[in-house]
Amino acid sequence: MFDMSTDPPRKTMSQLRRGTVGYCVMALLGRRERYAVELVRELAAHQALAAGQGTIYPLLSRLRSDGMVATEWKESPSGPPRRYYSLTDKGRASLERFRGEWKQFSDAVDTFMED
Amino acid sequence: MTETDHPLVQRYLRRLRRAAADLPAGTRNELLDNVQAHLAETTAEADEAGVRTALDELGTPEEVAAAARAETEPRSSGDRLYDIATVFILFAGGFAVPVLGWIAGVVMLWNGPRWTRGEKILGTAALPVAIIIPAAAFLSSLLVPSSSAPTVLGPVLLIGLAVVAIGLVAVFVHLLRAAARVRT
Repeated sequence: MFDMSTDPPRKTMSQLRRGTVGYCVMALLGRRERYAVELVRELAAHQALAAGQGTIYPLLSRLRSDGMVATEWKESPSGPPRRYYSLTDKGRASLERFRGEWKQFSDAVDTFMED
Repeated sequence: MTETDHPLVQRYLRRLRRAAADLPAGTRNELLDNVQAHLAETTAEADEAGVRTALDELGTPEEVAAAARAETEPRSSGDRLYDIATVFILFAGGFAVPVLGWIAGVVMLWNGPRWTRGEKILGTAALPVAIIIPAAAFLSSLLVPSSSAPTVLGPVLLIGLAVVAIGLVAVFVHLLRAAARVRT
């Protein structure tokens, strides 16, 4: 339960973000696998998506336990081993479904948001 | 990893540990591991300013903990029912329908999303091991001339059976608890 009246845009955006940032992660991984630091940097570069790089780790954990992404430790050319993330078949299927629906959804919202 | 020994990094991790204190242990530990690994990489060979930048980009420990809290949802009762049914069928299904009942349990176990690979292997191996070890012990006892160890074998078999029974119960309980923990 949350009170929409306190700060509607902020609350709404936080809900929207919660539902969509996972798919942004999956879309990034759909192109190629990435290691953790690389992944959270690319996402957090968009301030509209995340408050900071660290806030993306809990999301990565959820995607992993939901079977959407898989992880693997690999040696790094320099420094400590890196945890690599890749998209699973289940994640790819879920991403493709979302892609189609998101297009329709955002087009529809845009129609109403235009001044 | 001497990089994470930087005092600012240490302080950040302490704050994060405190901010995440109310989260389930598994969730908290995974979060701390992830953030620690992240900092080990981003602050390696960084000067003071570099460390500060890395920490700034991470977000405050409170924001990071809040994000983890938002991902922590209570298990639905349907999930719980599936987990309990799986463990029950895995261990007792074989008594109702020999072999097939156990196979049903194994299939449910491997389809369960809340067990790790290691737990699935453990659950699959538990019953066969529990049957094979006593059977092997019993068979080998037949091979030992009865005169040589008549007094030792009885207690040994008894203790062996007790160990196997306790092991089975432990695996049973472990699988139920593993499924109940909230992993994010």
